[in-house]
Amino acid sequence: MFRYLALIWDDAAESHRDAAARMSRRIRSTPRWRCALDRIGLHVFATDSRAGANRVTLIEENRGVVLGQIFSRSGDPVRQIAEPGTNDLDGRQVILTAGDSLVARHWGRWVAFLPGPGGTSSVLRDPSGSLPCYYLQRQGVWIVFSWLEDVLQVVHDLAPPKVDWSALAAFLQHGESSGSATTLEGVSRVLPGERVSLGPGQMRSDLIWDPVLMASKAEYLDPDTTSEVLRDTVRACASAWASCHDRILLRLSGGIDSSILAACLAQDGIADRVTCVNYHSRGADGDERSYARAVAARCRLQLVERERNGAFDLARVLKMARTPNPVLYVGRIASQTDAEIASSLKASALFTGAGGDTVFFEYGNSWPAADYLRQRGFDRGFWRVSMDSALLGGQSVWSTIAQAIKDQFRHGLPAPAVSGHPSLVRLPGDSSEPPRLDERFVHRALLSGHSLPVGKLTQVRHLVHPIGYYDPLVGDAAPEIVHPLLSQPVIELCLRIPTYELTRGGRGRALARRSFAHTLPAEVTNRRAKGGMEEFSTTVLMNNRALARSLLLDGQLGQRGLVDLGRVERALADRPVGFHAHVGEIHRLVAIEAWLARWTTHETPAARQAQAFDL
Amino acid sequence: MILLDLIHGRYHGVAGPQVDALAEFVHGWPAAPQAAVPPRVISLQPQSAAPLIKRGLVVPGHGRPIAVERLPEPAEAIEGWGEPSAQGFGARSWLHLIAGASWSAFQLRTCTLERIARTVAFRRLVHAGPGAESVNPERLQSTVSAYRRARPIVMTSKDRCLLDSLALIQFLAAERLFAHWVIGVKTRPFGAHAWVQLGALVLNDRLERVRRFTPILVA
Repeated sequence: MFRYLALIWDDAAESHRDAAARMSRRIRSTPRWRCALDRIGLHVFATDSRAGANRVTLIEENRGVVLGQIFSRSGDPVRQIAEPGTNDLDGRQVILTAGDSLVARHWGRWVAFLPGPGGTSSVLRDPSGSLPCYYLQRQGVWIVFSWLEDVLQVVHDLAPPKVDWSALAAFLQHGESSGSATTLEGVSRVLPGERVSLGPGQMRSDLIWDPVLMASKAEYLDPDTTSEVLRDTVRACASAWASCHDRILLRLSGGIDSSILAACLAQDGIADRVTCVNYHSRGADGDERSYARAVAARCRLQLVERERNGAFDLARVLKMARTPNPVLYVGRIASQTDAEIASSLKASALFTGAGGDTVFFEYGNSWPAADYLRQRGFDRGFWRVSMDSALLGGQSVWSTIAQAIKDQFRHGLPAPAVSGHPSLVRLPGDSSEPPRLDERFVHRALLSGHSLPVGKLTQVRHLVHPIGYYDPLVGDAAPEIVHPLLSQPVIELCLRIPTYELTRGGRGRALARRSFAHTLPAEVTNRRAKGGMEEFSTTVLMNNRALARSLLLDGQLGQRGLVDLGRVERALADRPVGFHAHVGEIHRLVAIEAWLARWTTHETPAARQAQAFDL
Repeated sequence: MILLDLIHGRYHGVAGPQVDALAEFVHGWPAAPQAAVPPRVISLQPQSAAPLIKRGLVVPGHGRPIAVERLPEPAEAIEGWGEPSAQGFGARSWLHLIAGASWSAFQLRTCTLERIARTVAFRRLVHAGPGAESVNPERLQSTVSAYRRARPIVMTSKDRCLLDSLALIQFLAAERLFAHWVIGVKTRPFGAHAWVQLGALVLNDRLERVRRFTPILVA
């Protein structure tokens, strides 16, 4: 599992220098860490890097370093197709532009450390945000890291971070934030596309890649050309990632996104290195094997099928690695099986179609009409787009037009959607008002997002949301996870394409479907439904109901008044009505309670069962 | 077990000993429940069959049940066929759409489900016959697709599956195509849904969603 650690300090301050030296010695004494860069005021370490996948790339006579995988862009500016294997990096240009050229001329999954202004060191994170990047300060030393457990071993003699309860309350209401704050005090995140300069007692940041600015540069091409460009870009990015691995495991659900990825990998020189895995479970939406088989047959890829493990023991989540934010485990229940299959196939990577919903625009909402009205006004195309949007949102064209007009007078970010049934979370203040979000929990680019129409803004909002890279349940045994649909060239292209073109004809992901229609079975490209795990999630919870009751009813969330214990108790009672209505939320609360147990000394059943996770 | 009161348009749940009790004296009641007969029911009634009798759901003597039709389990959704190549929508189709939607809305406000269901079933039996008449798939696809594309002009709410399905039934009938109007229920949690089905082909919904429901009314 590729990870990194960096120490940044003011060498002029003796105490900071001494602290940095102690930390650096401790890291060097661990065999798995290699020193990637050794400069005064900046030490960078990496582990488990290998040629072809995640690498250490020194630039400009060791003045800086890029960690991870980086590709070069080539081709004409409109297409911006990446050529795999072209990894030339103009280090001088990188230093001169303070890293701006990394974004303009390259893409990938990387974090860079460069000299910063005024004796600082800058940390840059690529726009896809695939490689985690956090930082905290101890004894005057800035510690930048990808995996928190590594830091806790380096500074194990110091007090561990404390829970930031206001951030946790925001997490409960809104989910994981896209901003710099985490749910641990003093632990912050470098945002995707951000440059953070860390120096003596200071921290400054700016964006080297602004998704709002990117999205505001709408690109108007004819549908056929747009379709072709999208197909070429996605295919090139998938090929580039595939070139980094000898063998690949592809999670093929049978949905359109993973199927598109399968079509991209079904190329000479790649296909015979790919094995697909499909997971199925009971339930109307839990079994998509027929679609996965059709795709695998059409693309001539090997396919293995596995049943989801309904007997998953929730006690395992009490032993998850310590992370800056709670990790929702439901989507990771199959990670052990992924690891086993990957190991048996000697596959070093797990490819997924994650992010396709967002980049290709799959939202059951009529926003594209509002976007059109803001960008083009009441012209001849507005009626067609309104009809398309009405189909998309499942409502009348008149409601659609009314909402589109209303959105023109919106100020600020749209209010988050409110769930239909009463939540188990206790909201502070007046719960009848839409919940407000502190700026530190919002990606800084979104603070100027009110200039974007609602559909495009929603797309941006989801694209800057962090996506997991490491697996806290399985750790080192997990294959490297790769999300080709969230490659920077794909993101940028889809941000520039207006939402009403991404959904032309009144279907979510319409453009993507059209782009790959000739390479995939019709029943897959025409599918409107998504697979789901509703019944599986319910089965897992029912099998672990006693543990869930114990965790939540005796847990810290209840004791601090952050959840409504009465509702929780009723939801977990034997009557199935409330239970089934709150399955997802209960899982979420269990994950948070399990996370809390790792960070607090509070005596709860969870804390008693939790043990350190040793990588 | 879930009962649908076709006169008042309400659902009632019967569970446990009540189910067995009703089997003793209600003609046509299912046999003693076997293990795991789906769907299991959320009980919404007190522990007595008296309320069902009081509501007229169970009556002495012989009632007039609607002819029971059993549809094949949904196996395919027409949305999977993609969009047809030719998509015309002439004046007559507009008339059928508006008339069908208006009539359906009027019926749902003024008539009982029983009466609506009988009308739909009767019309289909008279015009299409009790057996499965072969329908030109291309015409079916283009008609359903045309309805889907035009419906945002007349439909006002995305959650009114009952109205939408009935409107499609009326539209198809005007175009001389006769499908089944289906209402289904599910439990855990309880839910009801309506859709249109022709044989094993679902015409106006996703297969994965429809499969969650067990038909309680087929007209």
